[in-house]
Amino acid sequence: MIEGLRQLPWFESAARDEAMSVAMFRNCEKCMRDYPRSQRQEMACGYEEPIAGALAWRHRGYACDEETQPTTCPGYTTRLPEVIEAARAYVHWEKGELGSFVGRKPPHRHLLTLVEVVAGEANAVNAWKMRNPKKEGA
Amino acid sequence: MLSPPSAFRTFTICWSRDPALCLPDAPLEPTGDEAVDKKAQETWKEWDERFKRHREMGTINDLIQPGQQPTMFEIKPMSSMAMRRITDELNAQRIGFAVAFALGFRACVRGVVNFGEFKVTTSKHPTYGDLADEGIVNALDQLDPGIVAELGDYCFTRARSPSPK
Repeated sequence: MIEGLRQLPWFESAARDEAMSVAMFRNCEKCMRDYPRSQRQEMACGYEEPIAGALAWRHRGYACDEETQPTTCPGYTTRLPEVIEAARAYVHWEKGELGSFVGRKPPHRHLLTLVEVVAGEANAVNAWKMRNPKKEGA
Repeated sequence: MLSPPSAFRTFTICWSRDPALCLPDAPLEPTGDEAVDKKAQETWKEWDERFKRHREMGTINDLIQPGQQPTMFEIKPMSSMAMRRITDELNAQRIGFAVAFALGFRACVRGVVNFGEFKVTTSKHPTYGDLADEGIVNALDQLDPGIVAELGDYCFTRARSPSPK
C-alpha cells in the first residue's frame, strides 16, 4: 500500500508526459495476455510470485535507495483499493473537505497517514518537474 | 455484498479455507507420505499467496465456486486504542497470541453474512472498547479455530500499519 501510494503520483505523471513508457503497466489484463509469466515476474508483477532480481518500474525522479526501491509493479500497487481510496481522499483533503469524504470528523488515523503519503509524493513530483522542465518539442 | 478493503469504511473478508472457494485439491493434514505432503505444502503455499493477492485487491469473487457463497465477515478498521491495549497486554504477557488475535477480530468484526441465522452483537468492554461479543468466536471455533486466528491476524496486522506494498 505504501509503495502504491508513493508510486501513484509519479505513475500518473508519467502517464501524462511519457504515455508510451508506461502504457504496458496501465492495463494488467492486457499485460497478462501479451507477456509470458516469466517476463512479468521479471517486471515484478504483483499478480505473480516474486522472484529475485525483479525490477519494478519507477520514475527517474522517484527518491529511493537500494533498500527502499519499489518491489512491485505500480500497475498492481496503484490499483489496490485502499490506494485508490486514499487518492480520492487526497483530492478532498486538498480542498479541506476530508471530513465530508469520510462522513465523520475526525478521519481515521490510518486514512490520514495514507493521504499524507500521497501528498508528500505529489509535492515531490511537482518539485521534480520544476527542476526538470519539459524541453520544447519534447 | 463483497466490498474491497478500505482504510476507514466497513468492508468484507472471508476465510482463506472457506469451502465455497475454489480450494486446491490437496490434503490439508499430513498423510505420512513425504512426497505427497511436500507437494501439498507447496500447493497450499501457492493458494495462500493467490488468496492474499485477491484479498488485497478486493477480487475474492474470482475465487468463488460458481453458485456458491462464502461466509463473509463485515470488518471495520480497528480503533487505535483497541490496538494499543491489545499490544500492551500481549507485550506484558497477560494474554497470548491466541487471545490477542481473537480480540483483534472482535474489535473489527461487525457483521457476518451467510453463516446461518447468526448475528454479530457488540458491547463495550472496559479495556478494549467496542467488541463483538464472544459468541462469534465460539461459533467459528466450532468449525475451525484457524478461522479466528487467520482473520484476527489480518485485522491486527492492518491496524499496526499499512502494508509496505
